[in-house]
Amino acid sequence: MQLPENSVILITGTVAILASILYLREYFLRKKIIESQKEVYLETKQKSAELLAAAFEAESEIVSGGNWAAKKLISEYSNRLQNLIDGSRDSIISAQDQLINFMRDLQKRSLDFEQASKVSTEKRISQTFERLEQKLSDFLIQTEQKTAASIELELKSTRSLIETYKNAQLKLIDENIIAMMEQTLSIVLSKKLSLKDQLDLIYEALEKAKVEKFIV
Amino acid sequence: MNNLLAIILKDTFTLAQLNSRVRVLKSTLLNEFFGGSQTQLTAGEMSWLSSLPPDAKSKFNKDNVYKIFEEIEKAIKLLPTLTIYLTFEPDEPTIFKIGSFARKLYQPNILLDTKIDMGLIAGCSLVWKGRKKDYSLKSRLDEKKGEVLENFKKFLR
Amino acid sequence: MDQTQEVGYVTSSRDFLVYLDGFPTIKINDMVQSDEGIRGWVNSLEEDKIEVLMLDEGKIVPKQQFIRLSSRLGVSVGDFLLGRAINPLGVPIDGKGLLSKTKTNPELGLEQAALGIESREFITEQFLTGITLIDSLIPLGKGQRELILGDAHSGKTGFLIDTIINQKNTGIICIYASIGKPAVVVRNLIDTLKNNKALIFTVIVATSSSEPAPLIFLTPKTAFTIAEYFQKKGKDVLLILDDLGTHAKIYREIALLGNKSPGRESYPGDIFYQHAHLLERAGNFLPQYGGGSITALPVIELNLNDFTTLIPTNVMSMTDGHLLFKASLRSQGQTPAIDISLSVSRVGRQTQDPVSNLLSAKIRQVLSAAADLETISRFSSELPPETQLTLRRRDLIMELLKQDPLTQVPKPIQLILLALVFTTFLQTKNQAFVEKYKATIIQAFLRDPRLMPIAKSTAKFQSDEELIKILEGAGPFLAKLCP
Repeated sequence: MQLPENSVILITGTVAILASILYLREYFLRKKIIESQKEVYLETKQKSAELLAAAFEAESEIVSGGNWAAKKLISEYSNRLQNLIDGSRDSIISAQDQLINFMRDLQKRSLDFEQASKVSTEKRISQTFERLEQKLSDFLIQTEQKTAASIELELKSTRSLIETYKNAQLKLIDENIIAMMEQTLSIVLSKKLSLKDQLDLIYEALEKAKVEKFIV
Repeated sequence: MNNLLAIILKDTFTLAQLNSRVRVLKSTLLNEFFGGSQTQLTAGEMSWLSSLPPDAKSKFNKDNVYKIFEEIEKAIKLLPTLTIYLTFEPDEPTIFKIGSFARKLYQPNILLDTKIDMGLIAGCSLVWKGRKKDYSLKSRLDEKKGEVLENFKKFLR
Repeated sequence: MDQTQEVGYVTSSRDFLVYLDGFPTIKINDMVQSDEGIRGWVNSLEEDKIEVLMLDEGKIVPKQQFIRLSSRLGVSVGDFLLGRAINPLGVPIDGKGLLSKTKTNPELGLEQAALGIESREFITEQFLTGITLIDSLIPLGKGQRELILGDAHSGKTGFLIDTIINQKNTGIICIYASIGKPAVVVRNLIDTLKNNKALIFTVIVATSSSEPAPLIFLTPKTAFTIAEYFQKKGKDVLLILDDLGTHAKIYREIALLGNKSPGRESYPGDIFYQHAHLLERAGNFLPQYGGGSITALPVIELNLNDFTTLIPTNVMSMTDGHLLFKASLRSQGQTPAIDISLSVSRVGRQTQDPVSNLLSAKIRQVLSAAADLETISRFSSELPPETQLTLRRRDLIMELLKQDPLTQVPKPIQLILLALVFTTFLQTKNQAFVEKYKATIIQAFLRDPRLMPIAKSTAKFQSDEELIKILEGAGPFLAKLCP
């Protein structure tokens, strides 16, 4: 998860360096093989020239000596020459084959490696991104939930606070109204209520107390 | 000496009045028997003293006056007392009316103990044997507080 | 007022004692209030009158009307009490504002019956005061009741404050009930505890001497109620009642005013019950009853060192031992001024570890032997070497047991100091040497990397001999430290 870019860069860089090293190695090898081929060829050529010269000498000797011997000699030499040429051709072909095989193998390996590293890198990158995405979305969801909850709580407490305040205020107003009314009534009634009315109220109360069996 | 107390109680309805009348009678008698300076009596007290039947005083003599009053004071403590909170200061006729009404309703020897509580608005609250019950306008207002408030608010709108 | 309400009227009053008439269904410990807001609590009920003790001062007139309060005599408790000073009714007196903003605190009644024996547990844990003399020679246990006796100015209060301060970081809750002391004493106590960072685990319940007697009388009950709250939460509580002598006098005042017949020293007949009932609420409790413990230290101030009067003997008989402080010892320079031979702890021994137990037995032997020999030494000029050694050891011990106020000696160091007396290192030294180098030795055992292991491993020793042997080895090193 940490330093994803760096690791990608690191991996790609390593792959490139490896490929170039392999290429260089291959290049030098090939050069060496061609050189050795050239040497073999030159040797063969020289040897054949020498042989030809010797044959000519011998021919001229044989021609001078006898035809049969000359013929024999020629065939003998041509055989040996043929053998030599065949041997050198074989060795050339086998070397070439080897080289080609090696090259192929190398190419295949580098391709494989490239493929593998590409796949793994891609996989890692995609994994990293996936995880990042997951975590980010988790975090976002959590934050959202938390914020929502805290806002909800705040709102709730504010609302309840307002409610209690309102209730307290209303109660206070109610009490004030009642107190006002009581005061007004007591002032008015103490002046307006006749003694008879007062007495009636008291008689009523006494009777009520009897009915309720408060006084027995 | 309970019949003397009964005589006094006939036209005495409150505890304060009873105590003061007994005190007046006692001081008058003591003054009669033992001399000394008599405190000046008010017109009301004088008229009450003279309203007493003549044989009420005749039973007292120098030897029993303290004893009799001791008994009377003891008997007063045992009288049933109804404490009544009023919104006004009652005069004697009013007390007479309330007292005789209460006596008719409950017991013939009930005593009133009047107190003033202006907070009651009108009516009264009663205390009997350590229990207090409010029969005043205030208690009824408190009971119907909700309705009153509602009506009041309607009026405001 | 549509419901019937109970009322009562004053029939007579005598100082803070008021008799009421009325209240048909009132009970003892109910609270009543006058129309002027003066409160009182019902102390006793008679056939025709109710005896009320007033908690507030104010005007009481005959015929005054009283109403009954819904709450009974109690105090609201909670952790918010820590660090506060309150009066017995739970009103804060330290000027720090309201106790708690939430109003749903449980209110516990002041008058609680002590838990029975089925709820009690054997006392097994030592209560460490941090004072060498007590922790080693007169050890206390968690849940013990130990009476603190002493003259005025014998250092009792200083010892109590030290004990509270030394409970720092132990998780023990301290409750200090200051019964009828001058207000300035309470102020000083709060400040001292605060300066030593001991206020945060302390609750102070205080009444000053100017307050009404019934309020002072309630102080220890409130303190015990608060202590029980913390004990039920599984805490170990240290409860100090300073002092019960004043409490007894206040109760005598109340009883005499209430016409109760006086007994010995004019105390009422139930003074023993009052104190025993109170102190029985202390103890060590089983987990199903909260699991905590209440260690109670009631204080009684003596007059001229006479502990044979009624109240001290009463309280001595209901506690598990006592510490006797003497002003004469204090003036001789012994702090704490505790008379070792006259002080006892009936519970603490069982809580001590074996090493301290054996060592303190040894120390006691030396002290008693020295007391015997002292008389002989007065008559003879030339003493045998053993006698000289015993007497010198006694001096060394007494010097080592001295401890300045506001200091704490950790338990291992206490052991080491007392064991050092029996090593050859101190055998040849005198009292002046100990006085001079005591602090150096303590510091060496606390700090020096070569001596620290000894201090750390004191608990592992099997006997005092082992410890003395180890310290013998440390002798040469100590000799270098103390030239």
